[in-house]
Amino acid sequence: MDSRQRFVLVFAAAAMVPFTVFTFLNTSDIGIFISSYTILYFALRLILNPRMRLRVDVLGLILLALFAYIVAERVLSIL
Amino acid sequence: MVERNTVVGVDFLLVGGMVSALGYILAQSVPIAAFGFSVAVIGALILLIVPESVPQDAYRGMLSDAIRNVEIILEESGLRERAYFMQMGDGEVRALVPLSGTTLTSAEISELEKSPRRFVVNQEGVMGLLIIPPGNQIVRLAKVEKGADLEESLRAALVDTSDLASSVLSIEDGESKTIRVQISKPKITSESPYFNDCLGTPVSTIASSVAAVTKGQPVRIVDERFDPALVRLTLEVVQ
Repeated sequence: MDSRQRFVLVFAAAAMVPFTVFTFLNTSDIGIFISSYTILYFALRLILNPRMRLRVDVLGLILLALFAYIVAERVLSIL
Repeated sequence: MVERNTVVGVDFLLVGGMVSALGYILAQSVPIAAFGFSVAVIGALILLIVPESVPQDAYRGMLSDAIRNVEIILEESGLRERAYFMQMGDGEVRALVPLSGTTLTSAEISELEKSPRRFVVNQEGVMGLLIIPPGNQIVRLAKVEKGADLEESLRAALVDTSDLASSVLSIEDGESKTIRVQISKPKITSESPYFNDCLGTPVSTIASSVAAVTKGQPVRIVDERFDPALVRLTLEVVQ
């Protein structure tokens, strides 16, 4: 199994956990799902350290931007 | 021809994106949208992660054999002098293991460019063996260029591209004549005494090759302290 297969398989298996838990809890906020995938992605990236095609982590940046938007929206709603 | 996995990645990305959008807008179901989003992320991962054509263990095995071959040549030749790492005109890195302990200058070493490239070198007083250091290809794969930042180039070669170390630090003195490099957790070691004396441990060989390319001048290992957790390397830029 090469690094790409390992990363994709581990991510898919790990993503099932928050997906199942939040679905059973009837979560109606997609931000929670996206946030959990983002955290999962960065944690696995740090642990498995796969080699990416691009020097800039495009997927990480997109997930981080979505995460930042979700968090900012929450903070603004509280304020 | 497009790689099969690239097609699979694009399929996952598109289908995941559509499921996510339709689930969120039409079905107004958050779980469906979340499922589609995760499929799209998996598709993006398939597209963005570089596959390994040969497993890492196989690479390490081949590198180990290459080191043993160089070790045999050096042992048979009885050479234990520190090598000079230099970038040749065609961009390839070569290591000159001198016959005697005399210190060579940058001008003397650059004379080698003028002669036909041979394994045994005897050019205007410069005698030795000109070998390809293990790591020459890693330098090329990491896209190390002359004039680039040394620490970034070392990190690209040793951590990002080859995954042979966990981190790298480098300090250059004011006049850039001496470079100190710290390589944390090297994942490959060498039990070959002649190789280690001439070219340094495998990670030091790669670091020296990177330094030779970024500085654009010959580089020589002055001091190397090996510890399983940390390699401390002092390089001299030959003037």
